[in-house]
Amino acid sequence: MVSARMVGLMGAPYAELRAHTAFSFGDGSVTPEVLVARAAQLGYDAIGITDTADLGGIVRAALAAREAGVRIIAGAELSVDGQPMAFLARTAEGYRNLAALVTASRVGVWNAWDKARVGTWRGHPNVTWAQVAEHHEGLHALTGPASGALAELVRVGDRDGADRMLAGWRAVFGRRLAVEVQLHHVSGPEAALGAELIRLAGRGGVPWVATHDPRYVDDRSRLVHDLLTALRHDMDIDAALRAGVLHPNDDWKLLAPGEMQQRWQGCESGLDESTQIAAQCGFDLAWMRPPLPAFQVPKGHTEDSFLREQVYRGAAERWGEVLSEAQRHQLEHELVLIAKLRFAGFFLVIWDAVQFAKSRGILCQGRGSAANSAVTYCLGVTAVDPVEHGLLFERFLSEVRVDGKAEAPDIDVDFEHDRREEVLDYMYQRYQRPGAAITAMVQTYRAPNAVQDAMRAFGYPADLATSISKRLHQYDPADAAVHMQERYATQAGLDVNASRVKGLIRAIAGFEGLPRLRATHVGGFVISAAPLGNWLPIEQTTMGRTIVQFDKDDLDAIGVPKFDFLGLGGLSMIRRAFDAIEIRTGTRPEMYNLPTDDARTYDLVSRGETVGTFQIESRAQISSIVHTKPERLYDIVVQVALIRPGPIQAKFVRPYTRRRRGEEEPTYLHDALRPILARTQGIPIFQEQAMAIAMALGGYTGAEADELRRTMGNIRKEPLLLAALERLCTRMMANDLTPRVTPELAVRICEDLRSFANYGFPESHAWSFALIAYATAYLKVHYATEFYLGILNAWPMGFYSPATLIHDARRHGVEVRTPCLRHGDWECTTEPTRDPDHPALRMGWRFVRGIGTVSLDKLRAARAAGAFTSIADVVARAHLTRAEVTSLAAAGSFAAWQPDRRRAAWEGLRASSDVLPLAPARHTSYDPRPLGKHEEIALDYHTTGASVHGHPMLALRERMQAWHVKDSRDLGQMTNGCGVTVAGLVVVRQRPHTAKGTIFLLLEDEHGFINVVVPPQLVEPNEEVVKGAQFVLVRGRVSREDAAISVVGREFRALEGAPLTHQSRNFH
Amino acid sequence: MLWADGHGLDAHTLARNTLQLIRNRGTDDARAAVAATPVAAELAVVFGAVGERGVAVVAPGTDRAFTALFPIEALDPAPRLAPLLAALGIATCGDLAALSHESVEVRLGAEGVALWRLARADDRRLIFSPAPRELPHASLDWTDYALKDPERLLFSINALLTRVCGALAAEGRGAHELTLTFSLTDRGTHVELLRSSRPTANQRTWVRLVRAALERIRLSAAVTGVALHASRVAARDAQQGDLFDRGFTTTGAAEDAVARIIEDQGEHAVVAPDNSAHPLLDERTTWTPRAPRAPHAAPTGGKVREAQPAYAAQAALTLQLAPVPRAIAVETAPRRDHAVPVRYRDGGQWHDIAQVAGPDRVSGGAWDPDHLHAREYFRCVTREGVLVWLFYDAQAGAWYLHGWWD
Repeated sequence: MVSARMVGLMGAPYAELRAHTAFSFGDGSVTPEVLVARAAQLGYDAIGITDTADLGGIVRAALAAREAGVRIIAGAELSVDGQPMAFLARTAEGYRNLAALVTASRVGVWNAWDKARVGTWRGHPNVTWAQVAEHHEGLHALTGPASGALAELVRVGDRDGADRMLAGWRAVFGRRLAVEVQLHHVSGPEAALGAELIRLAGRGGVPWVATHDPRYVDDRSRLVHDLLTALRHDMDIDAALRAGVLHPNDDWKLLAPGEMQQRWQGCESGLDESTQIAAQCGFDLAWMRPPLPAFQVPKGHTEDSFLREQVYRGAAERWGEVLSEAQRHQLEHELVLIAKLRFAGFFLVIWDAVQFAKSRGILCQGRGSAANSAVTYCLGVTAVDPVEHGLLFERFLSEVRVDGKAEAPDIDVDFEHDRREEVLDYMYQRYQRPGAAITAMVQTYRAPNAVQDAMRAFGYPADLATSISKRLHQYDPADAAVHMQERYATQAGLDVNASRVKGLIRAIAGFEGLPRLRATHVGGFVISAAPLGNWLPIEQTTMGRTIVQFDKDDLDAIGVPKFDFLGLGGLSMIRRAFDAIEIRTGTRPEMYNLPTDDARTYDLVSRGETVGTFQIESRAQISSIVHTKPERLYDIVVQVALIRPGPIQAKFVRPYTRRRRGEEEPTYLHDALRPILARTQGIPIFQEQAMAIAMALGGYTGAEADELRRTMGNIRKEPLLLAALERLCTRMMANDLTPRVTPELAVRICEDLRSFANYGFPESHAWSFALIAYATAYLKVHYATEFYLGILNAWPMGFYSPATLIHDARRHGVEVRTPCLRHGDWECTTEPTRDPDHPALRMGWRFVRGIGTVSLDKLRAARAAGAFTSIADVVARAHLTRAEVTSLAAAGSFAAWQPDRRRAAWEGLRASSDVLPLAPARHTSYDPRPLGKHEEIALDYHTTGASVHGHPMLALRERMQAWHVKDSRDLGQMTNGCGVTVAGLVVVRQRPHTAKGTIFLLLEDEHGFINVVVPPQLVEPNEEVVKGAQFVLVRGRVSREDAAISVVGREFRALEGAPLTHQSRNFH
Repeated sequence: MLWADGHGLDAHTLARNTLQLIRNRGTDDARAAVAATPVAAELAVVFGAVGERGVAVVAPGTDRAFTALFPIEALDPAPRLAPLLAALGIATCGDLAALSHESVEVRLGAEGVALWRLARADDRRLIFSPAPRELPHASLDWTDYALKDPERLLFSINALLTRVCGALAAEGRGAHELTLTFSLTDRGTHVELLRSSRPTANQRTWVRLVRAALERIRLSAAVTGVALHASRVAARDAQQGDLFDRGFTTTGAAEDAVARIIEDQGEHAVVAPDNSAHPLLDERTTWTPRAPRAPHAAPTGGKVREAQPAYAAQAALTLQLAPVPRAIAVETAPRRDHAVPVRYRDGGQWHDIAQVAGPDRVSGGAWDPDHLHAREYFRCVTREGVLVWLFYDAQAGAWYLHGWWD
């Protein structure tokens, strides 16, 4: 190790040991990357990051530091018995102790953990001195800023107390302790305090160190820090200034080492100490890797042998007792590699979770690249046979090493979305709370949060901030500031020339890239054989879960394997449909035993009747599949991957479609590409194909091909990609193939791969999703009632609202009935009709607005005790309030006893108030005016968000006919390019990034759907209508390509009708 | 909405005239309605058809029938009630009015019954409070002559005071304020307000105040008449005294006194210091009107940071701030990462600085030029032994003397 003195002499005269980033959440206003870049610019050799009870910025800082040539010191500021101290990691052990202390400050005592009692520690992280003493090894302690315990004793003149405290700390930390002295030119007492602290250090034989504790790097980040401080104190910025909670000056800025040298002239020993401490502290991302979970295997087994046993047992179930040579070879290939990389435990953990889910009847299925593995297939984790479909294992697991460590395989398993929690609880139980936590998701400021937070801090009314922020939802803060300046501020009545508004706009831009909060990742679990918090600090969430302080990218950079347990509505839907089918028919379908050659299913898909199906229900998908007309499962696999931003931007959709329909011949640049690309009509769609090209033409090994694949899909990796493609080019030309790859051909193939890099999709993933997509389409054809039951009971999920799904159900011949307290249940149920093969669908009570979880529980409990016999019986036994009675009555839920909803409300309200049994209220007759058809539909929408009695467009149809407005049926008869006027209820609004400003509206009428295209230049003049109106009338021309029909709008008008309780689903 | 009580009057004419008055003041779209019940009048004026000259009239005895036509929303039902009414299909006031009291009470509760009454034009709201009692007054006019002599005027006013004070005393009240109105020969009037420090019906007190006023005022012409009325009265046992008198031993008494000052001088008369922790000392205190009995205003929106415990012993000297920081010329010398003043010129005279402490930097407020500040303060001891407080304003690039300690 270079001596500390040498570092001091050779390098910068000062090392900042106490920098804060925005990961101090509210007390830091620069990203780790910006901080590191600024440190490098100022000439620092090393910089310590001591965010408040947080290590979340360390990985990003370390990665940035690699590029910038600055050394990172991992540290944290912790509240010790209520007062701040800082700790720096000197060694790997020190880092683990630091992480353990941060974890302790965030989650308290593990053995007192109670999922139900959450949040008590959130926001007030604290550790005790005893905990610090227990975890002191490998840490360097700094005594804290002016608000620290030691400084406080000095300030009140308790010299003996200060001496005793320092001696106590020295007894624990020995030479790994320094008295921290800061000078921010705040006031006279600060300098005097500093002088006294230096004297105290001298008396105690402890070195003192100068630190500066910076929170920002420039004027703009200081402004943002002021705003964050004000928000943290729940004040506006002016109040915060008056209350003295803001920094009194801008001296908490990162200063250059030279500036610090000037400031501490004559007291250089404090600067020297900073460089010495920096030299003694190291950091390596490898320190952060927790030990993989050890799977408890039966006696006589190792993890490898047990995995092998389970794999071959599964293989017998999947493939039969006798395996083919290809199957056995693939399994052996994978098992050997898994053993070599020591990942057997990892696979067993996943297998165990899947076993648990299956034992509970929870549908689950692996997705992503895991489906490339025969091992995961045989373990029952994935559902795609990689041997049969020729999937490339190396896409899943290879020997590529990152930072000297094999990159962990990426296994994503989908579980039913509303039962995933059961699996998570199981994992917590199986691996103990301290050993498991979920990956974090760091939410970075986007325009809406930045605008709202900045405007709140500036004291603007919340509704004004909300109205502006809504218009900027697609922007980042910096872009939003530009748009505010150019347009939106003025529209909102703000004077952009007013200096305060200028300040606001500057502040909004300052939020660019800052982390705002940490949330829970949708599924990534991290599990460790030892307390995980000793490697990756853990904190609580409000839902009683625990998360690590790092997001997915951080964990990838560290090399921590994740177990992704995701929730998937499609599986919930299928399971519920299967349950209903089993109840009705006595036979339960098997998801993976459905016939995959069902002509009726492909016919439904080809007609674009896929509303409600998994993955192929969006308008873009429907527009595509009516062209491609899938007729086999692989067509759906391609379809899942094809309608993605990448292929759309690359304009590959149309060529693929033409080739699939036989309108043009696929072409291949080289004969060797034919077997790779033939299944996708000569167009590379899947990542596995890119890898296969590299292997076939460049002679790459699987690992090399996977390394090439890793450079794809991320714009930030483009330089790496270009270098990798250059190498591929060379390898292809050097490869001894017939015919040889010419330089021109090599360049062309690489160019294709470069454009492909932005959209490549794993084929295995597409296969996994296609299986589910097919299953849902099959259900829609053969078990329509149960299909709609499944999706409605699993809702919210998918692309459409319940109203649209119910109209679709009715169009597909399903009789849908209103919620009913006599016949129905809290969820949708099926009911027999005269045709035993076509049951009716009864909407569940949960769709009645105003009936929340508590009310549902009351109803379910009462119903469990016995069937309801009358309105009064329901009201009395479920203890319904007046509001609940009226909601249920208005939704027609009492129709079994009183078909008239108003009379039902009359009776229900009497019952709800009739609480004096000795003096019952009299039954009085009530004769309200009957509801009209249109009123009934509107009331349905108001009470349940959907109607089983008709479509709201019926109320406008007469007027529309007088205006010669066409309906969705008429459109089918119209030719391309002819003028047309259409109208409908807007059910979906989409503004995909790939469409360059075009808005797509999906109108719905009583017969079906109308696709409307709003060209970009017409969006702004018609903004109110196309973004907000419920019913829209569109004048334009028909755009027709076979069965794909849309109306390209020219004029847009909001249709006036009775107000409807309805909101379109908007996707941006 | 303006209500007028037409009892005993020609209500239609009253409405028409009132409307005209309002229109004369520039409000063209005002409407008026006449009905026997407030609810009918209210519905008529807001929703009803405009009759002759913008006045809608609900014929006597037809209030209920008139009300029945309106949608129930016109009665602005409570938010809790609205969905119940909708669920029952009660769309108009008539629908609700047609129901029985019991059935409404059972289903819609007390709020429903109140609405039901309104729907039936059974409006029990008290729109008009009883008319206040007239305050004592007296007046005297003379046409044969005009007075210029203050003594003779005082004699006449004394006669009026006898009547007014007598009336006050009889009611057990005292006047805070009397209004004296002189009618002048030039057809003008002069109004003089007389105020006592406490409510009193003591005639001698008021004579003294009148005499003092007569000595002070200058009239433009001779007087042909005097009117006196008690314009502000109170119970005579109300306390009186100096706000800062040590005799105020209770906060209640002090609050009463402050209340009387506000009543007397207006609500902006009483101000209180509002101290903040603003980094600039001269911005820390603002004086804001403070109503009596108002709780101490908390700093808006959050907690104020607790004052830092003093590190050093509190200075025995008091900092005197200049009303406005005084521009000075300063010579500086470099020291570490800043420059310190070595002498300054104030009032044409140079002062050498023997000792200097600082800088104490105060900067911020970048979000608004009104708040933007960037100063470096120095505490300096001059050769003459004066402790002064100088600052360098980085924004203006200038030095200032902000104060001194004595």
